[in-house]
Parts: sequence; C-alpha cells; structure tokens
Amino acid sequence: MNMERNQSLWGDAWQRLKKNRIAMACLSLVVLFTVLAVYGEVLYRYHDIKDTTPAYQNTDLDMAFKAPSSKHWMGTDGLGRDVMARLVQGVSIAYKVGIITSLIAIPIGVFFGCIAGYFGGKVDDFVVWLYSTFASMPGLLFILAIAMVVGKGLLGIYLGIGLTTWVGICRLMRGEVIKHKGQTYVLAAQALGLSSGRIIFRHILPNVMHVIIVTFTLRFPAAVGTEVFLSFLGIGVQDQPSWGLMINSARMRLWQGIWWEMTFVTLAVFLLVLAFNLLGDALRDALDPRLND
Amino acid sequence: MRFYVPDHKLFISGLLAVLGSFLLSGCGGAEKDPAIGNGETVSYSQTSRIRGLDPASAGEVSSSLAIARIYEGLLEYDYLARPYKVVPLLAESMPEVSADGLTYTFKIRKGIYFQDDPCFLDGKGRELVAEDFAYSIKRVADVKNVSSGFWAYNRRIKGINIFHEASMKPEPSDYDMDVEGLHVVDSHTLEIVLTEPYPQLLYVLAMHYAFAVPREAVEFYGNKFVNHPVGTGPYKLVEWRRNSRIEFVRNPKWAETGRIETYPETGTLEQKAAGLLKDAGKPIPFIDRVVQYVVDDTSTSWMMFLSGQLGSSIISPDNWDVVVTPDKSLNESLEQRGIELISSPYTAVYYMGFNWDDAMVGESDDSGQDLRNRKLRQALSCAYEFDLMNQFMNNRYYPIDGPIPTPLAGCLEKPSPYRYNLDKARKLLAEAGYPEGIDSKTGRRLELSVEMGSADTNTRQSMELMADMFQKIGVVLKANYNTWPAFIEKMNRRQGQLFRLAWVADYPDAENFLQLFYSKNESPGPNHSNYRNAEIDRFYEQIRTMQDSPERTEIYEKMANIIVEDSPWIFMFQPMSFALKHSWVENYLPHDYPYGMGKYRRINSEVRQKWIESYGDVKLNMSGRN
Amino acid sequence: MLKYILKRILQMLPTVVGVILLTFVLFNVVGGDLAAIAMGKKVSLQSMESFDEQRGLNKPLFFGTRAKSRAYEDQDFSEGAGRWRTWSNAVYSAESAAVMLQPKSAFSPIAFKLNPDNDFEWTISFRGAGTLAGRELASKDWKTEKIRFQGMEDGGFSTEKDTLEIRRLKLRRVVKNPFDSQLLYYVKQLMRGDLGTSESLHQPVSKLLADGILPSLSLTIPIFFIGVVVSISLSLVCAFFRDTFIDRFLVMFSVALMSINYLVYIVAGQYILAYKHGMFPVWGYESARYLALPVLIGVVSGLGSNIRFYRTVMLDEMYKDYVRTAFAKGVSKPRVLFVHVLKNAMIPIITNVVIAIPFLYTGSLLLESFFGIPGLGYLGINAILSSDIDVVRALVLIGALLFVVSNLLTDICYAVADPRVKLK
Repeated sequence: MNMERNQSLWGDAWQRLKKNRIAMACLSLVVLFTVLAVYGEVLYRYHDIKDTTPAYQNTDLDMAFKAPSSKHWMGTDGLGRDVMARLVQGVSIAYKVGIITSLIAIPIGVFFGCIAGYFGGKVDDFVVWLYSTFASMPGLLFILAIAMVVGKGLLGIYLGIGLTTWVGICRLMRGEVIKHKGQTYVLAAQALGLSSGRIIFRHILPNVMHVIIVTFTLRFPAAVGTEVFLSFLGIGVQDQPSWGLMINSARMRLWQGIWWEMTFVTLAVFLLVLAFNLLGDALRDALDPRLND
Repeated sequence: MRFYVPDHKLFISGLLAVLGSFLLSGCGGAEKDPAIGNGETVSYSQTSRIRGLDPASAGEVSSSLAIARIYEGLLEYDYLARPYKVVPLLAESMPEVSADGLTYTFKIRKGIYFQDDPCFLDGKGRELVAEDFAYSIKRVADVKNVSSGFWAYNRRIKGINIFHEASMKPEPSDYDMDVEGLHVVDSHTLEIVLTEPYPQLLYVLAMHYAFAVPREAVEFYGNKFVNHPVGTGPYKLVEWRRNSRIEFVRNPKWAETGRIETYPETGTLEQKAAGLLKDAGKPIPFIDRVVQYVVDDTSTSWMMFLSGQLGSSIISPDNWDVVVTPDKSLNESLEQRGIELISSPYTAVYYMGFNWDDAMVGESDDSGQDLRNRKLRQALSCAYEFDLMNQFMNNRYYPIDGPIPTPLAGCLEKPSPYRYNLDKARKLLAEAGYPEGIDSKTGRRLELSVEMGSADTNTRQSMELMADMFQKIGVVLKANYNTWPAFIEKMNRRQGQLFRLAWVADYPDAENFLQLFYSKNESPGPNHSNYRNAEIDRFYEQIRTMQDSPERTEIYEKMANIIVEDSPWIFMFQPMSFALKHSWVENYLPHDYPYGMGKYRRINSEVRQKWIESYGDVKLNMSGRN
Repeated sequence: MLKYILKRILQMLPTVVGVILLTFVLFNVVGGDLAAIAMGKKVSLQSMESFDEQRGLNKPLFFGTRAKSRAYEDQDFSEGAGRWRTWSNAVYSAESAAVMLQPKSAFSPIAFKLNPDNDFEWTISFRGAGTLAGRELASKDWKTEKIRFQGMEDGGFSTEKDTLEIRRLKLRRVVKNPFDSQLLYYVKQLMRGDLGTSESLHQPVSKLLADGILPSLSLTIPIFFIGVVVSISLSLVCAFFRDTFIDRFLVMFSVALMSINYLVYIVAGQYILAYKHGMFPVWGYESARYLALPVLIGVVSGLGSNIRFYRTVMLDEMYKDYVRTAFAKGVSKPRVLFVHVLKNAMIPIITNVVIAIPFLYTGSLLLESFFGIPGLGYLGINAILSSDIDVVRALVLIGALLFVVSNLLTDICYAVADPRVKLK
C-alpha cells in the first residue's frame, strides 16, 4: 500500500516537474556539475594513490596569468595553473562540503525529529530543548567557533556547518511526524504490534522522504556558499583548489585587468547555487505544494 | 628586541613604516579635527597589530613603533647617518665611560616633561628625572611584567638579577629596593654599573626597554597601563581601537614647556640631493596627527594607496611584476602620478632551521650518526636553489652565505661551500645514508616535515617550491601550516623537525645573530634550533664582552664558518625592502631601526590636495596595462 | 497574563542552561591550551601554571580527583626524550622507548616549586631500583606504581648502585574537592557578570563588547530597516502584479540575487564603486560616508531572500476571505493591498523583524572585516584568527542569550496582542 502511494507521489511529481522548463534546465545543470564533481574526485584519488602531481597543481611560472586561449579555455592563474582544471576540482570540493555536511546534519535531524514527534512527552521535551539550544547559537559565529576549535581545514567546515544546520531539519521532521502519527496506516501498524523503531523508520520515514529531499536540495547551495567564504577567510580548505581560495587569490590581481579567474569562478558558484535553488523550489512545488519555507 | 617574522610578512609589517596620508576631504570628519590637513596615516597588517603600549612588555615591531612615538629613551639612532649610530636624546650628551668600561654616567637633560595626565598631581606632567630610568629598567627586570626584554640586562647590570629574583615572590615587587648598577647620583645624573663590559649597551639603551616611564602612571593605571601610555615623546595617544585604528596627536607639552627638537643637519651629498636635508635644523615633529590602520588585506590597502587614501604602501608579491620593471625601477604610469619607489637592503636572515633534538636531522649521541645527520643537513642546504626562490619572489632577495647578514661586520664574503649544487647534494645525501633519497635502513623515501607559522597563499606557494627543490634529490618535504601562536607553541616545546623563521636585527652588531646559536638561548629562548656546540658557546662567551675590534670580527667570522659547516639552518636569503610613496610624503628615508623616526617625516598637504582633486579626472589605469 | 509570562520565563531557563553548557563544552573541553596561546613563547612553565590557576584552568573539567600540573609534562618516550635529554644522568633509548637513570644520580624532573598546600601523585612504570619522592622503588620486571607526596616535599628521583629505567611517568595534582571544576568556575564567573579577558588585546571582554556594539549597530540597523522597507515595497509590487511578467521577473531576480555569493558583492562593490569610480572610500570607519557602501552591499545581498519571504506573506493574506470580501465590495486593488493586506500582514512581518533583532548584534562578520568597521563581527573574526577563546565564547554566549530573550519577548508581545495564544 505504501509503496504504491509513494510511487504515485513520485510519479506525479516527476510529471509536474517535467513540464517546468526552468526546472529541467536546472536539473541538467545539476547533473553536469555532479559529473564534474565525480570526475574531479576520481582524478584527485587517482593522483593521490599514484603519488603524482595532478594537472591542476602543475605550476609553470612562465605561463602565469595567461588570458583564455584555445589551450587554456579559462586562462591560467599566478602560478601558471589551468583555471578550468582547478575550477573542476572546486566543484568536487563544493560537492563534498554539500554532501558531507548533509550526511552529518540530516541523520541527526531526522533521528531526533522522528523520535521527538513519535514519542512525544519527555523525549520530545528533551529534543526541543536540544534544538532550541542549538538554534539560539549565532549562526556564522558558531560555525567559525567550531572550526576554530577543531582546527582549520575541511573537517572544521564539515563539523561547523553540519552541527549547526540539523536544527531546521529536526524541527521540520518533528512537525511532519506529528502529523503522520494520527494517520490510519500508523495506527494500523501499532495495532499489529510492530516495534516503534520499525514504525518510524519503515513506515513513517518513507512517507516524509520528500521533505528530506527538498531540504537537502535547498541546504546544499547554502552549505556551498558558506564553504566559499570560510575558505576565503582562511579557515577552510588549505591545499586544494577551493572556490573560496580561488576568489581570494584572483581578487588580488583584479585591478590589473586579470578578470578570467574571478569571472569564471564567480560564475560557477552562481550557476551551481542558482541551479540548486531553483530546482529545490520546483521540487517543493511538485512534491508538496503546501510546503513552503 | 626580538622579532620573529613569518615569511614575506616582513614586507607588510610596520617596519617599513608604510605610511601615507589620510583623505578626508569632503567627509563629515573634517570639521571634527582642524589638524586634518597635516595628518599622516600609517597602515599595517594583521600579523603586526599592536598588542599593548607598555615599553616593558611589548615585543613586536608594530607595538614598538607606536611606543616610540610616545616614549623616549636616553639615546636614539641618528636618522640620516649610515652606518647607523646612536646619538643622545634625553641624555645631554653621550655618556662618560670609566676606564674599565664598566661605569656609564649619563647626564639627563633638564626641562623635559611628561605629558599631562590624570595620574600626576593636579593632572600636570612633571619633569623627567634620573630615577625614572632606574625605575623603567627595573620594570623590565620584574618577573611580574613578563617582559620580553630582560635578556638585555640579564647578568649585565650589577645587582639586576637580585631584583629579578626578588620579584618572583608572590607579593608586589619592591621598587624601592636598590639595584647597585642603577645608581641615581642626583636628580639628573644616572650611573649604570655593569658586571662585565657590554659593547652593545648603547644600542640597548636606544630600544624601548630603556624608555622612561613615570612611576605614577604605572601605579595609577595598574594592569591597564598598557592602554594608557604617558611619555615625554613628540606624540600622545588620542584613541586606540584595537584591531582597527590608532590615533596620535602632537604632544602639546612640548610647546607649553618650550621643548624644541630639530631635524638633523648633517647628511651625505646623496641625501641632500634627494631633498632629505631641506628641513635641516627645523623644529620637529612636522606632522600634527598620525592615524594608523590595521588593513588585513593587501589588495584593499593597495587600492587605498592608489586612490590616495594612504600615502605609502608596500608592494605585495602579487603586484610586483606590474609595478616594478625588470630593472627594478617603477612602472611609468605610476611614476607619472608622482609615485616613488624606495628600496633599501634589510638587515635580516630568513632561514629554515633544523631541530637539534630531532633524531634524524639533529644531534645524535652516536658520533657516526651525528656525522651522517650533519651530511644530511648539508645535502639539503645544497639542494636549496636560491635563484628559483628569488624568481618566485620577483628577484627581491639577496643570497646569504652564513648566519650574519650584510652589512654587519663578520658577514662572510666568500660563497658558502653548501650553496646550490645538486651533484654535491646527491653525494652528501648518499653519504648520509640516503642514496637517491632512499633510507638505506628502511628502503623507503626519506620524508621530512617543516613547520610553518602562517598559511597564506605566498607562504604556501614558497613551501611548494621548497618541496620541489628537495624532490630533485629524492627527499619528500611535507609542510604543516600553523597559526602563529600555535607555531610559537611548537617551537617552545621543541617540537617539529624543520621550521621556517626569520630574524631581524635588533641593533647593528652581528652578536645579535650569533646569540641565536648559543646553547643557553635554546627554546623557549631565541635559539629555536636548540643548536648546541661547545666551541660556539666558548666563542660566544668570549665575544660577549669584547668591544668592536678586528679581533672580534675575526672571531665572528670563525663562528660563522663553524655554523655554516654544522648547518643548523638552511640560509635562505636576505631580503631587500621595497616601498612606494606618494609625492606628498617628504623626508622619507628607510631605516633599519625605525622606532621614533616618524617625527622627521613631513606631509605636503598642498601637493596632496591637488593630487586628490585630480584623481577623478585623471583616470589613470594604474595597472600599467593601458 | 503575569502567570503566562512567568511560565514562559521558566521555560526559557533550560535553554539558558543548555547554551551555557554548550559554550563550555565547545571551548573548555574541545578548545586548546589557553595559557600557551595567551602568553606566547618566552614564558616559564610556572607563569603558565599561575595563569591556569587564575582562570581556573588547572581544575578538572566537570568532576575529578586528579588534575594535570605543568610542573611535569607527560612525555611519551616512544616519541622522543623531550626535556629529559637535558638531564645528563638520564640516558634515553629510542628502541626501548624508555630512559635509564644512571647509578648514583639524583635529580628532579619537576620544573618549578610545587604549591606547598597541595598533594601530588606520580604514576610511574619502571624497572630497576631507586627512589622517587622519597619512596623506594624496586622491581626486576616492568611495574606501575602510584606515589603520593606533598607539594613541599622533594618530588625528585635518586638512585644508588642500580639503574632505574622509566617507561612512563605522569604527575597529577590531587584535587581536594572533586566538584571544584572548570564548569563550576565558569558558571560562577558568569554569575558575577565577568566575561573574561581578551588575551590578545589585554582588555576585559565586557569593554570590548561595549566598544564594538555601536559600530555594529550603525551598520546593521540601517541595513535591516532599509532592507525591510525596500523588500516589503517590492513584495507589494509582486502581489499587485501577481502572476504577470513583473511578478515572475521579480521572483527570478530575487533567486538570482540569493545565488550570488556574498563575497562577490563585497569584492565587486569595493572594486567598482569605491576604487574605480571613487564614489565611496575604499576602507575605514571615519564618518557616515564610510558606511554607505557596506550598507548598500548589505541591503542588496539580503534583498533576494527578503522579497521571497514577504511575497509569500502577502500572497497568503491575499487568499483570505476578507480580501475577497473587499474586492467583492468594489474596493480598489491598491486600497486593498496597501490598507487591508499590509495591515494584516503586519503580524508575520513584525515577528520576522523581532526574531532578526538578536542577529543585529553580531553585526555582519564579513562586511565588518572587509571594510574595517570595528564592530563585534570584526572583533569576532579577529578573535577567531588569534584563538582568543574568551572573546569568541562571550560573543557566542551573548548572541545566544539575546536570541532566547527576544524569543521570549516575541511570545509575550503575541500574548498581549492576541489573548488566545495563551491557551495553546
């Protein structure tokens, strides 16, 4: 019964989504970025295992600051490295940040949200207390403080963003689960004597999956944006070509008319974030028109 | 004073007195301050922000520069004279020195007053007396002040160590306790008695560890004294917003008490031609108001300079190749705007140190291993390619062949035997037990790690370059990037294998560099390599008390040669400093010891006004890429 | 009403406790060695110890009977000899990862005189024979022993005719009251209203906060109010032209605005408007003119999400019955929008405004640090870069408390405005 219900929900949503031309354009952009991210990651791993220097790290002082040409489509940077190759690595870092922070935030948020919504009472009180404590923390400053304490680098960013953003998901899930708790399929499952864990994670969760997907799509660009300026501030990524670092170094030469690194990186960030934002909106409309903000 | 300078940050640090003028034309702020027309703005960057204004406890360049605007000592460096020499400031004349070289008698100038401050009776600054100097030096020796300058007096001034130890007790230190070597003869005569000859004493007395601090202020403000400087100098503090802005104005006490200081009258012909003697004999300071900023971002401060908001600027490596032509002169379009390029050699050594505690690169109890470790260090020295590093940093370095930089007496003229030479490096590496970089014991590549005190792009890139150089002889170099405090912590705990540091001269004597190899100065002292060599220790103890003489220079050279042979450091380079200034900044002369020199500068406000008015019209593409 | 307010205040307390606990865990438990960060390099271990003592950092974190002392730093002999190599009678061997004390030697690894009022405890893994803190040690095989002694006693080693091999050595201070912890100290400090002292700036944190609040507010308040006014106006335009080209364009436009990274606004604004065209000063905080550019950037960057939010609010209202009634009665569209809808949308708008107020206090981290505005955001970034834990902790804590309090205020306002709320 549940499966069918789900299938029709997803099927309907897909039908609705297909009609939305902007959403489809965004989807293909997201697919493109995803392919680039996977390619970048594979490249990084390959060179890491082989212990060789990847092309995007190859320096050549004689080739520094060359404008876009047929050889380097997006020009070269101050150490003569190919901007396009580095941009692609930047995609993979942005994806890593988006995905890993979600992998931290979503399970925590879903878990606490579900148990709070399902059990209510003391458990609910505790979860509400926990998330209102975290929600009270001043956003960016708290992320920075976490990053400071665990140390510079990607780990600090993952934890900083991950540990601050589960609150929203938790709140949303709690509300959804409370709504579903009174529905007949849950009551039926309870009457069958199924365990609470089974009911929550096998029965309720699939029915609120769309909330998680929409949240993920909308949280992803926010995490990417945060990573960009944490790296810009020197707290984030250290030795990989992150977009934040690239913007920071490109900025120094902007006044000399070296526009390409800045322009392409900015454009990449913009397109990625825009695609996810629009896709998220469209998904939300398609999956659940009632769900807004 | 000991300055640790992380990498290229040196250029950004206030040492170069990155100065300029502050544009307020058309801003609401102009009415608020009538002296605005003659203001000066100095910008300095993050690593060198001011931490406190207490002469006893300050330790970094930027604090020292600010302190020297407010406080003064018995002696100061002459602004124009080269080689550098000290001249009397608050002393009437140079001191009388006894025949045994142990007693220095200073006559202190009469009619010098501290600035008005609530700490004095009825708020009026009182006259400076000899006791103030004795008191100020005792403050440096007081353990409770955690002074970074006790080394300057330690075991040198008679009885100072008794005071030092007494101050370790938990109760408040007793400043009425007599120190034998700080003898106040009368209100304006101070006798400093030494335990042994101290050739660098006069230099030390020109540093801020000997500046006169009024006891009233220290007692009035307590631990907030760092924020409330009360001095005799040309300026006084108006406002200090930490991390952001500090403002000084002309000390009105000078006019009130009729104190007049003048611009030096003697200089070389070259200086005369450069217009540096135009103000000879005129009363200083020329500038009424000084504003200093913390601008973290080099690109921001560069834009501020180009738009006239700052009067001078350093040249960040990013801008170098468009600002300066290959023959080291200024790009034409900047020149047309009246911008000048100022360059000067800089007495400092940049190095990569080995930790003597480390089993692989340091000392070993096993004499065979010890010898092999030394060969490894020598091999790495040979693998370091100065030319490549210099190319990366836009050819603004000088090679250095030993621990003593030019122009100090004792610097080695002949090229070091461990200059760049790949064949030699490979040979030495094989002899050290790592043929082709493979550790013969384990069969794996030799991997070394280097600690860095900053993580910015330039540091990172220069380390990538170093790793490349070592790669050529098969050695893997991994860099650990730390924050500056974390780096210092590692140094103090003697952790780390290799590390990157710089030493900037405190005074023009090679002793200042050789002390970095004295075993008793090991971490947390300045000898961060923890280098130990009985011969060097013996020589150092010998030269400590020697006056400048050919014999002493000979020992300096001997020491330098031993150190080169032992290779506790890879001597990387000696920097040349470059700065830009606008035409309206006058009397601008780079100085290795620039503390207190700001009072000689002048801002030509007419020229500046014209320049700023023309900024909107003459849309100069200052990138030089017209 | 009073009862409701009291109840809400009571509900707020657990969150306040949570906030205090969370900051404590983050900074004291996970954070680094404050003394070393604060005092730098040329400092003796003793002064670090007294620094710890001053700040209660030498206590156990939550609860405990043993605390570390800096007098002897635990040395892992498998990593190296550390300070031991300076003692000539101790021979270090990397292979056995141990030091061996030669016969007839005596020395103390304790770096400074211990506090005579405290008890201390050595934990030693050894082999051979000798004495430590006056107690005999003798064992052929590796053995671990605990030795307790008083601070005024000599805590050092001595050997007679045998050697003593040491593999592990730990020094701990015996804590008299196990509840006397860092947590308790922190709570007591907060009760006194003491937020600590900035180590890098040598000033009490409360003074730094007082100095920074004005510049922060002078930036965030204009951004906030201009932002609200502009975005409400634009959202009304959307509502007015609902489902026309203008509406769709504005929606797309606001998503695009949202997708441009904050950094890009700042970099482009500074470069193009300030430097290229000289319309604003490049950097600084001297007069109102200096604030114009950061405020402009702040407003523009926030516009996208604000328009979206207020548009939703307006459209929600427009589906309500009273609007339909109004239209049915023939009231003109502008009148419905600007009088009826706007008036009724005021409640969600005001809620949004009040909730945003605590965020005004931290200012805009990036704008402040980029344009050199000496507010709390700039203070925060600097404190993070210089590991100034007291400052960061205070900023986070106060930000969180303000949030809690303004939540409370919103709820009370609601209750006053709409008595039904209480019943929920």
